[in-house]
Amino acid sequence: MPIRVIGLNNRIAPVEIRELFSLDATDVTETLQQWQDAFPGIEATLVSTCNRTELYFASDHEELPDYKDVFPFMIAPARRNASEEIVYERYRNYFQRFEEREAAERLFAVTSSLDSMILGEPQILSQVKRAYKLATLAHTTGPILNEAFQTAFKTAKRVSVETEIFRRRVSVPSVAVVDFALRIFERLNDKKTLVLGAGEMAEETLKYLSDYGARSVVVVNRSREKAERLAEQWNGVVVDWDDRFQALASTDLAIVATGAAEPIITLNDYLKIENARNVNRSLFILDLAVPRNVDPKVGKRPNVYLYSIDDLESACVRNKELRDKEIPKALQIVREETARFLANVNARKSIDAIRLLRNGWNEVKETELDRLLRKLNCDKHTEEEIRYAFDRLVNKLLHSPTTTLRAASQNESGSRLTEVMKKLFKL
Amino acid sequence: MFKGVDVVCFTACYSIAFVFELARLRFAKDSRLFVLIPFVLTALGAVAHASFLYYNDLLQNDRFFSSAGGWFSVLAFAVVLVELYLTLVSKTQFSLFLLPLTLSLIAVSLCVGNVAFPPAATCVWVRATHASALLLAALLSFFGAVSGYMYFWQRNRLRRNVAENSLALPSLEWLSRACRFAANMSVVALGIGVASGFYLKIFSGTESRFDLASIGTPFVFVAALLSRFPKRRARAVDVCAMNAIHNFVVGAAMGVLLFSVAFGPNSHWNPPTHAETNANEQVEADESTLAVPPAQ
Repeated sequence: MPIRVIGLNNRIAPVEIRELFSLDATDVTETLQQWQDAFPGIEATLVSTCNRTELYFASDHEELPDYKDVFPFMIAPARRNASEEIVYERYRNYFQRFEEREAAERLFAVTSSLDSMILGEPQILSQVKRAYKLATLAHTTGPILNEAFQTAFKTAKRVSVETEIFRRRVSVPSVAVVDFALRIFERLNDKKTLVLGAGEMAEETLKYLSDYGARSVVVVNRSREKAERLAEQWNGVVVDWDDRFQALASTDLAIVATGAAEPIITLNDYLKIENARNVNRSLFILDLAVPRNVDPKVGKRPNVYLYSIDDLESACVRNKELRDKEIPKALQIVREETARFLANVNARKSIDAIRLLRNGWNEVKETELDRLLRKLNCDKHTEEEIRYAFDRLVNKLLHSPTTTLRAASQNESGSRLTEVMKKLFKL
Repeated sequence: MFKGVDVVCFTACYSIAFVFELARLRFAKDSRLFVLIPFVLTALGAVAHASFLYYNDLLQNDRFFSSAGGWFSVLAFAVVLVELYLTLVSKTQFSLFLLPLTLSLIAVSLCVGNVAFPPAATCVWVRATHASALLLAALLSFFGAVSGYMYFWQRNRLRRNVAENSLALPSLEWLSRACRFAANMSVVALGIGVASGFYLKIFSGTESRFDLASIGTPFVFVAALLSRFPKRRARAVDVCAMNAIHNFVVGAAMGVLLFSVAFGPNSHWNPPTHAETNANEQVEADESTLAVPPAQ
């Protein structure tokens, strides 16, 4: 089965190399148009994300080009024209090359996020879908890549449904939101979020909260400038540092991540605002700072759910262990889908060969039948009998090669057998 | 097609689904199959249950709720529908808590038997409202008690940072709201039940009936109503605890009253017949005749 892939990713290529081969959507479209001119009849799809750039190309009737020949199509057109130093020989060690079964397995594993930096990250599926869409719009896909990408999406879905890989989160912010916040609150779009401190971790957590619907954000920071920057980014409001407890009194979720060396919310501070809080509201506090910014005794108060970075990290480790156990199951799904894909492609090729063979023999049959009937000049009934006998003869002669080809198409020998058949009968 | 469906069919479906739910807790925590099988079994059971009610209650006796067993069977069916809905919406293991309730109701329906009530002479709709409202109150209270229990389970897990591996429970917010909703609505249903009961006492010739259910239900209603008045400065956890206790107590009281109705002297079930009504009228007429001395 003629399918190949050449690509580089974050495992083997550092970022300064990866950025040389990074292409945006416009670059991909332009590159694929150039591909069509250079290799008409050869299917191609270019997947380019921040962690990988991979070119999949395939054809069921043309000879596939060499990796060296397709290498220029992995460079953005503008960069390709500007610099002639980006040559295959210089960068070939950063590239991985796969053919046939391995190429298909590679595509399925990438789409299922089994090759991602963070196992189970859901973005890769949408990135591959986008790449496939660009290729279909550029008309560079055909029967093989269509089948390959559809199978890849199906594989990703199976991995998502049949394993726990996508469900187990392993980053602190995602665990905080999904494994804790969503077990306390039914929805986040009507909740108030308070961010104390404007560090990276707080920002990352805020991003996850926002993905799950959190809208109302209040930012408190000693440096008002930083607070305003963060608030602007998330459509939030800034509250003075001195008013932080009033803000806490009306909040549902609090992300605390300042650089303070001592707790900035002590038990006494909380007790002062406890009566001002709505009795029906839970308070979810994420203390992401080290040393901790919230007195652990606050977490013992009714309706307060306080988690420190250690609590979250232990949940991450737990999830990671559970997820790693699922990898063999996911790889098995990839193998199954690869086998199915190969069988389908082989079957399609063998069907073509069978059709050609049958047409060829029927042509010979018709010619010989015409000649014989002209000579015999028999009545209609006899003519029908002779035609019937010829049909049966051809069908009987074709039965054995047809069934053998069909059976062989289910495994890899089918492809070779089809080629032999085509050569043997000059199809 | 479903004419031959028997109690055994849907009871078996529910029972096997419950066994799967229990097994899921212990053996197949993450298996999708173990989520799907009990759901499908419960759904199949519900279909069989519906056809059983149709053929054995509606067609045989010309109306639903035609017997004491029918009432409990319909109630069990309602619990199953609620359970299926909640499982679909919240994708959590509600069935683990509601299937035992369903099976208990089916057991009660079998115990009280399927003998049809004699056709009622008067107030058919009020009678149906009375029974439905009180059964609904009991059902809501059971559901509220289950939600309260789940709330404390989930809260305890969150406090102790326990992962949600074995049993998926809804969020605290949802459970707290469900518990409050069940508590409030059970009081409303109880009120409707009691009001319709009084109406029946006054207008339908059942004045002579003073059993445990007739006396106890108004008391349960008054107690439940009083417990719904807002408490000053109760914390949310206490509010949920109060709602859970309210639901549990009302549910238990309703359970006892229903038990007394189901297994006590069964006159409470049976509406006064034409003959009974006529006899009552005759007695009233005789009494009035006796009260007025004949004219000299």
